Amino acid sequence: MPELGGAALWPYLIVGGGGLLVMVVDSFVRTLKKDHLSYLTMFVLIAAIAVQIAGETREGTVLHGMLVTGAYARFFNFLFAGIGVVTTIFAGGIFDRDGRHRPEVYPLLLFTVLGMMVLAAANDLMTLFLGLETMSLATYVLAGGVRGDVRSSEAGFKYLVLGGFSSAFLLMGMALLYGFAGDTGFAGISAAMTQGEPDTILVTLGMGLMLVGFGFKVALVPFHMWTPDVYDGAPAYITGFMATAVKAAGFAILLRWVVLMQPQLAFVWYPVLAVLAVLTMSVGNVVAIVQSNIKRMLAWSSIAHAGYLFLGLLALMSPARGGSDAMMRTREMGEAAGSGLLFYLIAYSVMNLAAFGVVNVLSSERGKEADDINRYAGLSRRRPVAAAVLAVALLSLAGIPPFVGFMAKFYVFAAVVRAGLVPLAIIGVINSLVSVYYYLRVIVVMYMNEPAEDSYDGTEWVSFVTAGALALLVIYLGVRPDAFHHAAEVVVRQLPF
Amino acid sequence: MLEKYLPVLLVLAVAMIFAAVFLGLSFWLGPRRPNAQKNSTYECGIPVRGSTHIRFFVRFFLVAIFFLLFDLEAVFLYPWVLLFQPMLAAGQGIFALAEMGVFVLVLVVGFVYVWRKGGLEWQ
Repeated sequence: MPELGGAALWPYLIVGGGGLLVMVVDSFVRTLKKDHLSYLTMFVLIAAIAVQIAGETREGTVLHGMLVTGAYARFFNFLFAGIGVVTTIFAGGIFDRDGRHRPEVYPLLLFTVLGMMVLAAANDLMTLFLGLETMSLATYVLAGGVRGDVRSSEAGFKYLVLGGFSSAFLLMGMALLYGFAGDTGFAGISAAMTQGEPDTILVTLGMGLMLVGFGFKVALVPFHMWTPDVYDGAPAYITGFMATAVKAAGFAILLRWVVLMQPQLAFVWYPVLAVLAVLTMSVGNVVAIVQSNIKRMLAWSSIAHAGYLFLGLLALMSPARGGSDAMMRTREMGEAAGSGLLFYLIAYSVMNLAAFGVVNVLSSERGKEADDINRYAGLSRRRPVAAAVLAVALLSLAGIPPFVGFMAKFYVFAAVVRAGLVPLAIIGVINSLVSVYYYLRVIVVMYMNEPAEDSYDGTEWVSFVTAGALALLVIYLGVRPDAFHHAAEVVVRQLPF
Repeated sequence: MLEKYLPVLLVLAVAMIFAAVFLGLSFWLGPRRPNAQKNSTYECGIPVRGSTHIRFFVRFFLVAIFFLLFDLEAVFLYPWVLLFQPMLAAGQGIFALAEMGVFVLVLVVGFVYVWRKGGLEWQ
């Protein structure tokens, strides 16, 4: 891959520099009203998107092979910046309710996006870790940053301690891999994998430890215990951000890492990964059934969705297990699984953001969030648009056509079946059926129950309009997924299978 | 592959045996004649004043964090100084200077932010 000039770095510089700029403006301009910082943040993110569209499109590495830019990084940069814009809108939506100014949210949001962009473009274990930590550290503060709120502090503290622990696992795994390959660059590791005798304890252990670190970030089942508490304690717009962008960033690096490690990973850890995927789906869905708090329910549902996404990764790896008899089929099947996974990430981000956008602004009580499912009673009569948006988002999360959640599941499960993993696909579909129950329960409460005295009611129309636009996107992508799915295919084709 | 790590294992074992033997010897051979002075917290004889579990003013925490930040900056400057001459000789002086410039700029912005937000005021 050619080494590109600094021009490919502009999106990263804009987001990082924009974060610094927001900090300076926040500290110097005392007369600013709260929303102006969110406008500035949005401007920075949109500028990053624009530069990304207009700028360097070639595949190549920058900064001496530390980052790899190209279709894959561009895809994720668009996704992260887009989620950032939506989150900024939602963050502005609750300032009136809380009567409390949280200007530090905006630079932290930009730094998180920067970390994710670096993570998705990492071409070296060092940049991988740097991106992951930039993302994580800012997220810890975002989750725990509501001053005076005990549950938010608890969320931040838990996330920090457990996250630091998982980073240590990741770092140890990276050290072992470095010990094996003698190189921290992905290219060097890949070369060492294919030529040496890679079936050593070092590689196996290193990959296992790194899996623990990644598994924590995307909330796979044995490493998921932080998820409900953190998602519940953090403010809803941050929860939406964590459930979509942070998870997408985790899968962005997991996908590239799996492609890189495929020769080994496909054999040593494959059975374990299959068990983890099944556990993740099942535990997530079953525990979500009994939740009465909608944020906790969405947290468990996000764990279940991580399981579906992981099925895609298994499908991606499984041809490599078949030996060299069908190299062509391998590549085609790998591409189907990879593009299904990327499409799922878009779909999941859009529908989840729509749901969290509504949940975020429904409460009118200062400092309280609309998290009790029973108090959604009669929302369809009080706020028909908000109820419809939430219903669309939840139906899509359940995977019901014609919404995008169905198409996403279709692509992933189809790839899983093509890879010959029919039992896993069946378990996935059964899980998907189970999930219909708890998503529908919210809809039943909203539409069938009479509004009560303490039912939720919100008036922040900007957030409703944004969530509504996302809901329309959910329907549009469900009916016409071709363009986005094709884009995902193009992106995946650039990966070195 | 793994036999390369045998020396490490040996050192570990020797260290453990060494520690165990000498602790055990002093435990076994050493005379024990306790008295009030010997059992006090500080063997040097300084009397203990109050409990160790006292409350610290929370401001110390912020100061410690700021100190850590700027201390780390100084730590990062040392390897940069060592590498600057070779990089200058290789014709990459401007690049090295710009790298450190970016690093210092980020820190300065953080410093200005802390200052303006009142993080450096004691009350």
